[in-house]
Amino acid sequence: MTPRISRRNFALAASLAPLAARAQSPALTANQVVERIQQKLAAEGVNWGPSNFDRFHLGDPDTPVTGIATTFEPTFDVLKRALAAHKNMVISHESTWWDGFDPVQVMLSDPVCQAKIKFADANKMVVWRIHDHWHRRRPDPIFVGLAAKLAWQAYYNMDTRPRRYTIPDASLEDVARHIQERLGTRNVVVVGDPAQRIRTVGDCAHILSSVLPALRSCDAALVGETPEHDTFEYVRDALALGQKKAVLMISHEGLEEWGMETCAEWLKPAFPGLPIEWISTGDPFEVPAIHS
Amino acid sequence: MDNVALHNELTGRTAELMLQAALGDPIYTARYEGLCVGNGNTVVQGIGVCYAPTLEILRRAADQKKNLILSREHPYYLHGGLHYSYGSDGLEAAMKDDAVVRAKREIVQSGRLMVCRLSTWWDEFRPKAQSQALAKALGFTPIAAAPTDRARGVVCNIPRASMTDLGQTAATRLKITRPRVIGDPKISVSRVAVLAGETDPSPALGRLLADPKIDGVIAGGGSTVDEVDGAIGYFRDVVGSGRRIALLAVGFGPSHDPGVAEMARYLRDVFPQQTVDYWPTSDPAWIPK
Repeated sequence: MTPRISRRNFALAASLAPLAARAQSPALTANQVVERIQQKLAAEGVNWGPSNFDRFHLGDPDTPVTGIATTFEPTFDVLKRALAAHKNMVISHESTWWDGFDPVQVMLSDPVCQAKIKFADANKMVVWRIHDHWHRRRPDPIFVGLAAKLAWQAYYNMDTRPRRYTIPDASLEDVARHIQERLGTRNVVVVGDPAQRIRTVGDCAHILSSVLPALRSCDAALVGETPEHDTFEYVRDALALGQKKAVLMISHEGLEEWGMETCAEWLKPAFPGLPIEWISTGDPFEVPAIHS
Repeated sequence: MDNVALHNELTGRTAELMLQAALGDPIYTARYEGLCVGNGNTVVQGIGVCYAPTLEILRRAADQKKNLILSREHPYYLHGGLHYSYGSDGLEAAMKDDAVVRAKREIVQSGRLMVCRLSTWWDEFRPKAQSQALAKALGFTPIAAAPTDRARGVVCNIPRASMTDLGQTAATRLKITRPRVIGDPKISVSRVAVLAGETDPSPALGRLLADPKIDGVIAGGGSTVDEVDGAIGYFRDVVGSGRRIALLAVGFGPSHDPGVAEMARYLRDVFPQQTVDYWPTSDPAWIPK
């Protein structure tokens, strides 16, 4: 007996057809995911080019991908949470092997390194890093993400060098508190007079030579985990000289991880049906309450 | 005449040679070490020892006519160092016409000051001195290390305490307001590794943590080798791998200042004919409550 095909059954079958076809087609490999990301970047004018960082750092690139987790840094904790969320491809902005240029060879005898490799192997996980190429998009999504997190988009000028926020007049202490509240951490270390009035804040990367342009042209520099022995000492001296300057130091994560949250949203249209989510690396530092 | 040394007077250059005789040859590959600022032919009138030759310390040196400053850091923020190629790149050029550096140069010139930097130089002479001094300042006694152990870190058995408690101890004893913890601040620890300055790069930090009984680390801050904070990420993974351990960061300068006081005591023997003062450097940083 030929089964009767009702209009309702026909419509249901038609709606399920693409899903069935997808179920039958092999899952994308991590390599294929990367190829598609490279195409998407190229369509935006960011052609794939030289980079010290942007490549596979962990796992087999031919691994079928069950889902993607974007993150700032693929810490052990992030890998565990990605696995729990059934996402075996982690796309990270920062290093898997800690020291920036990924010297995994010098770390291979380290037990933490070995445990991380073993965990990824056992769970068929892959880590691919996108640092330089993500920064090459315009506007730079890392700093767009930070502006959104700070709720300072309306105050942001990304076209100036240094990039700067022109915010409503506030004391340095109140600006620091705002950053604490918006980033959800107490980890905002400040050098400067708490009562100093702040109107302009330049954002910058890590080292003093990068912080200087912001310090010279703005009231305060917002920087991610800068060396204290030069940046803090420079600001101390500028204050002693009578300059009204300040530095607000947040973690590297606090500065940059929000741009990887937007990366997840950016990826989704290119991978319909593939689960994608952002996993926060989180701020590394807790600030215990201290009695003076 | 005051700038011309008589044959029996100590000049900056002679002082540097005496330091070489006492500490061993300076590490020539370490950038920005030794007599780095001022005219080395100037007669030494007095010596001040400090962590950082800040603007205020230069003013004090000029006022007190103690014109040789022996410091851990460079007056113009040039850290350099054996393992440090990343952080000072481009900085020397960027500082060329800087107003702050210009002001410091003027004080150096008008006060006939000299700054001789002992950082890696001192560390190569006594690798554990800075960390031992930090441990003692916190009230801990370092375990005696093997004579062949030239790592910077020291290990201390301490009365069991939470990392929050240790943060309070550090705040009180080091006069800081901004201790920070990686890991759970509530865990209690009883065997801590103490590292003045930054944590080592990940490979060396890993070797220090090879002692499985170590459940706490007290350091100045995260490593700034290569990409700023490599050891912070490494330590997060030490915790993430399941080890019950936490790290207390007390700040780079505050972690070094006790060692600078010890260095000043040592240098009094190198320069017995001179007054050698220790000038503490306060912590400029704070965290809003």
